Amino acid sequence: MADPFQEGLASGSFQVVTRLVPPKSADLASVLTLASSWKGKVAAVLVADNPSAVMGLSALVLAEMLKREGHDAILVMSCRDRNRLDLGSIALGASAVSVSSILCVSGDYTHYGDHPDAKPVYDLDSVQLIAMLHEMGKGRDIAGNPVAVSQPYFIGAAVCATADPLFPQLMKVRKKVSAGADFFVTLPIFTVDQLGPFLDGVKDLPLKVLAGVLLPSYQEIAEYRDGSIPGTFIPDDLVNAWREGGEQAFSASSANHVKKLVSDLRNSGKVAGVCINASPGREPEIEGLLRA
Amino acid sequence: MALRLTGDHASAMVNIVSFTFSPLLTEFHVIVAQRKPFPQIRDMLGGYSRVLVAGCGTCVAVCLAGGEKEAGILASQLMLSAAGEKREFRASAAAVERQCDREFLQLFHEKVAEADAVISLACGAGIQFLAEMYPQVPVFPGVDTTFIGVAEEAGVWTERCRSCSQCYLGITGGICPVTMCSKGLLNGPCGGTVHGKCEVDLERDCAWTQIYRRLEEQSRTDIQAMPVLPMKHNLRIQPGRVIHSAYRKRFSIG
Repeated sequence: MADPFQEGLASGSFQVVTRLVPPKSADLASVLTLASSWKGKVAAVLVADNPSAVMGLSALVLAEMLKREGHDAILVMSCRDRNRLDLGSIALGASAVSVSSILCVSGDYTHYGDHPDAKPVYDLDSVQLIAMLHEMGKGRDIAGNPVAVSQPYFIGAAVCATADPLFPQLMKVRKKVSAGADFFVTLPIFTVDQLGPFLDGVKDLPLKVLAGVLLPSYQEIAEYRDGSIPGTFIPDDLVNAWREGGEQAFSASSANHVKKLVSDLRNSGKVAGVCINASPGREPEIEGLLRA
Repeated sequence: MALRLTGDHASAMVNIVSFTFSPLLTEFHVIVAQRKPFPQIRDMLGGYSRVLVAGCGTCVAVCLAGGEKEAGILASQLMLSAAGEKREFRASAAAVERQCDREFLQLFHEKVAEADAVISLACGAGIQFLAEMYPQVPVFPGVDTTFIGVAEEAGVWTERCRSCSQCYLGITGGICPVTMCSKGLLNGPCGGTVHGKCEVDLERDCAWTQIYRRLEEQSRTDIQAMPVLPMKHNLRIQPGRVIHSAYRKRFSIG
């Protein structure tokens, strides 16, 4: 049986997904409380996998806990931290605990994180990881050995819709579709218009795209320059307006901006849904964005 | 094999063995190495009093890290440092054309016999071969071997090859994604490209932007239409060993 998120996406209704970052702690109480504030308002919780190369609790463990608490979960799997054996093991583990929606990403480079000396693995890239999950869903592991999973994976892929240049990204999107991607999640965008060139470039493909949106921290805005947040490009006028407004006004103005953006995306009919991200410290504000 | 003694260098105790460079040498790709910081070298050699600084005249000479000249300079530095500590110490410098070749390495024989330690300025391969030829003497590295690269311009070397044993250059416009992409991605850029630069270092070009542009110039982007399979790491089991087909019989390989 398909998961609620998978069914919702297939139905064509606008899907709202929120991203949850596993804590740097074995105590899950705070993140589970946070997720409970989203219950009934989101299609699924996307569980990040050592985002920004910062080590945290296993994404699969948190995804399983969320499932137990009645949420649908999308597990993120990063190629940065593990080779194909471990990626396969995690995929099997996910299947065993009924986590079948998996978003495949390359992963931010290690030097961004809190273990800059770590070996970046990238044994597979995200296209190959998608292909691996697709094949496992059909009963073969990446080496061609028989493998049994509970149901085919519902495979997500990431894309930077605002990349410059865009053509290499579009080339990779097509490879991800060939490899078996079922849906796409963009890195954060800040205006509906930012999606234009990307959507034009893939209009011949039947893509289900969730637009990523981000509630950034004031520090990120204060220090922002292109490249300071990997894959995230904030229009100059927005950065300037937020900076000029000062830190006190920023909290409300940025939340209002994201809330309006979600509404505009919903009304635009251009995307299948949104994935709401919040920078560290702003996660509790996501619940406010979900209110009508 | 050109080997000649050119006399003293900087100190009466430092002898240089030199050779003639081929004019083509600077056009070769090089194994690039960087001299270790002096305090690290000095500390490694703490307990020794007769040290041979062994230079190598090929790659590390081209990248100005471990050739004849650098061997002489390091020997002088060691002598000066020991003199400052009023310690009895003798460093001599010598270089051969290549430390990755036994024929040349044996030229160190007499020099090594006089030393109680050797510091080699060759790449990691040369250092190991030297240590293998003279197992009775401790051999220390004087450089950190960094990469296989090219001379971009005077004094600048950049990496080009990670010797993966399964060259992809034919489908990537002659630009290696294994080496030139920080993540070694085989199927296209990550999401972190910043106006054609790499998310890891904004001074560097994004390899996949370069690859795409090159293929576009050649009207060959269609070659990247389908996913590239994962790398076969079993082709690169270390330590690598290659026997040319013409020599298989000699080494009893079927």
